[in-house]
Amino acid sequence: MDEPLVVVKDVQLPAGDSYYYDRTEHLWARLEGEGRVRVGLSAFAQKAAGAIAYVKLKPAGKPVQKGRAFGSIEAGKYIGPLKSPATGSLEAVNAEALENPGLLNTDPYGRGWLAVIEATELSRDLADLVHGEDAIRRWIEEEYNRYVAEGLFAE
Amino acid sequence: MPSEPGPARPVVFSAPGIKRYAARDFTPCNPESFRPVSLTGARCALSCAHCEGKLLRAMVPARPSLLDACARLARAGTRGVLITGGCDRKGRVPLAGLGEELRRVRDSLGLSVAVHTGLLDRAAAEELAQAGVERAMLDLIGARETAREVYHLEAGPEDYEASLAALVDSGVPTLPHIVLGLHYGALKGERAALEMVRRHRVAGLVLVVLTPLPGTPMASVAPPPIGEVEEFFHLARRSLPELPVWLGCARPCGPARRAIDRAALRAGLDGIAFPAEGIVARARASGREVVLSDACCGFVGAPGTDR
Repeated sequence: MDEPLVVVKDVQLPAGDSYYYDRTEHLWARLEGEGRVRVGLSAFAQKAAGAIAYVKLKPAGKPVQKGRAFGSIEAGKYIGPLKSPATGSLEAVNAEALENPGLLNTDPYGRGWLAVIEATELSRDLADLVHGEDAIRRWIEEEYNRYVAEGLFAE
Repeated sequence: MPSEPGPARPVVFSAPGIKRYAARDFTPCNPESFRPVSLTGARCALSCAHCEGKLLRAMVPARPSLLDACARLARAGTRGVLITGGCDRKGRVPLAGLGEELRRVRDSLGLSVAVHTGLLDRAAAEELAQAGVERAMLDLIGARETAREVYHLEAGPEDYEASLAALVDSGVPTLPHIVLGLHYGALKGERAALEMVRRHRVAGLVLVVLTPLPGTPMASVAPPPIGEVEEFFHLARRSLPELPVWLGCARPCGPARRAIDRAALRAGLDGIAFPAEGIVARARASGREVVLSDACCGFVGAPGTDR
């Protein structure tokens, strides 16, 4: 069966049971079992950021804290940190995305993933993330309208 | 390598709303403070080799009208706008005839107004002056080959200097920009452009560095070497000792950006837009007074923009 997908205008967000979203940072977090969480920028985030030109990530093995930077990006419309949706340690970082940051734009849920976190407080960290098809749709529609009103989605 | 200058001149770090920006030692108070508005949406008749209109896509389109777009921004907290857009076949941003609307953006909406002009004649410059435009920005091209091969425009340095003169003589505070490495990464007409700046009473000079954009003919072009960039920074500083000289928004990413920002500090430039991580701290450590601003560099010092 195909995974549920929330589509709001030109933005698509997978909404299967394993997907969670940080409501301010617009990162996705995908549960991969045994406390492992794969993380990336959502299609909404990469639309807001524009063409991503540079990605920097902490090396694998480093500890990360929810809400604190585990890396940074430089893009056409955004320069700033990538804030972790979970506390734990970086099990892996995506060397291909470091080499080719455009993957974050062209394949945000696939080859453009950023890191895998070995989460230590997973149920606590998931509590404030957006989850479930209806909740994701409501949230992303509100965000989309807000970004349009503020002129952050120009074209 | 030259040492960093003494603490005599303050350095201004600015982060206008042209990009969202956050760094450990500098996060702007109002990320929507200063926004670019494109009069042409993503359209540009020149389709320059370094951009092909891609920079325009990140801007707010002036729809359904310039005034409507600016009113929306004002309601969202914007305090200033850069009115820009793609050029026509003669290298002009289509500002002609918008004087009254520009005045209303400033007077009715209370927004600071800067414009990117492209080439323009005296009548157009006077219209901007009468509209009360507070800053005009103009990319100066100092080599005819660069205008032809990058901008696809039959224009020479004399045309750019005539536009600069028209703005300055009309009384519009003018901030020329020089793009280092615009000629496919090579420095070609930059010194000639700097000489133009020396001949006119401009409000300041903004230096930017070619940033190869994905999906353009210059995507794989190497930006100019950091040594040449730094040398030009020092030349600009020596040539214009009293004039504010800023490092503007555009420059390559990552380690190259940090290297360019450090070079700007060493050369004693007066400001850096969107400084790389650690640069604010570096300036403080060198003893220079640091000013943080949400404003576009041309508006630094305007009420409520500095802290």
